[in-house]
Amino acid sequence: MAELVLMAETLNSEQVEAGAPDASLRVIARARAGDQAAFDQLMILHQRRVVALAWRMLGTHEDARDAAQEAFLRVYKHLPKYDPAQDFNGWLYRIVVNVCRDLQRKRGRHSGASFEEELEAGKLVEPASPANSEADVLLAQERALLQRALAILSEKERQAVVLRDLEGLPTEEVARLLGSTPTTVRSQISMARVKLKAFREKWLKGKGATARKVRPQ
Amino acid sequence: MNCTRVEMLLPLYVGGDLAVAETEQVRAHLVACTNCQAQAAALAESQTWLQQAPLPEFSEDFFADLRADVWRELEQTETQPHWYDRWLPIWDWRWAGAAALAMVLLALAWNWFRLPGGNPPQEIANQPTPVPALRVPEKTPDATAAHAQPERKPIHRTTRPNYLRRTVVQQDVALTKPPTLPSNRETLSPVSGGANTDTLAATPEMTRIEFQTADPNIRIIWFAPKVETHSQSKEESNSR
Repeated sequence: MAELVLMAETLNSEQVEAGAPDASLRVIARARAGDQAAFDQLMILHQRRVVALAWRMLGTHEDARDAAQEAFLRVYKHLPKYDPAQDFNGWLYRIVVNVCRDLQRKRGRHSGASFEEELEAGKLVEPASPANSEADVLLAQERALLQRALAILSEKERQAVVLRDLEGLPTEEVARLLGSTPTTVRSQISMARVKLKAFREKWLKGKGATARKVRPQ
Repeated sequence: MNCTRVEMLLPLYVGGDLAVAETEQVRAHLVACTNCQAQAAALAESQTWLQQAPLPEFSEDFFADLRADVWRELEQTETQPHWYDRWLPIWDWRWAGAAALAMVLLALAWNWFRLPGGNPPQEIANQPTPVPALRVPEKTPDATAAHAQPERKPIHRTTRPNYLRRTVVQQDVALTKPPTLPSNRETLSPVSGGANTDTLAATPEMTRIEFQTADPNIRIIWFAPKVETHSQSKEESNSR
């Protein structure tokens, strides 16, 4: 197994990804035929996107990892049934979204609770150390802010806004992925955008107030 | 389009989710309304901020562990036997066929015992049934059976008026075996040990009276002591 992983890692994934869609299709075709090295290559190609989507949907590192693992297992299981004429990314998105929804249902978490839990547990902001530059700290704060912003949304609003605004999928595709209608998705997106705007304005106000407090000292 | 309506549509306008006609209407309103312009700008900034917010860092080790876990899980799944392999290691189509045949035979046996033609259990067969008899009286009187119910008293014998007596006798002749009996009367007939009303009807002392109601399924049957008519009593006295 270790040999297999090493062999797959030696393949230049960036070449496959950036080079041509034909190369990606070849990898998919080989993986469908049962080539394990090709499947590992497929995971390398899509792992960042899958984990990022799962993190945005679920809000924690642990959940994102569990969801990504389950998603790749389902991809492996259903790959022989995958129609090559279909868009692979869309097919993969559908699997990841379904896994995330299953995971949320299974864990029975209230919407936004996972984000809040991670914030309270202090996992979100990377621990400050003398080695961390000011830029790193700012970056960590930005991430924390994004996580907190997504936490104020309901589960459905978050799913809709993540797929539409962050993943850039069309509304109809989002509706199909979420098992909903375009009208409902538009309503959820609209509500989510208003909430996010209010959150950002509040944060900016708070930031301004803190800056005014700090300046006289 | 007024400001309230535009404010409702602005979140969708900034994301390009409106139809062409509505987009044009909102754009035309924004040219003239500075307040709505500010709202639209704030929404657009918020959306840009959201899209540009950095994702958390995931190290290469994180991804390597993830892939290793996937392969480990796949190996376990492939080597793990199915549940029926564990529970039925000697699984064979012959066993499946035998089990199916046994189930079919069991179902047939169960069905046969439940059918009306099947032998009922002995305990039930010996118990007297309280259901009254509805069988049509036969014309052959049985004297011994008639004496089986000696205690039965005549009902309203003394209070019955004369005009009814005549009617009773006529009905005794006319309706002893009516042509339109319910077809399911056989199913209503008593089993052995039930009340023996046939014998009552067969005796010379008793009269069977039947009234057919408007409902063809409902018939009133009444057993009463036979009343002597005037002509009959006269014949008897002459014979003496």
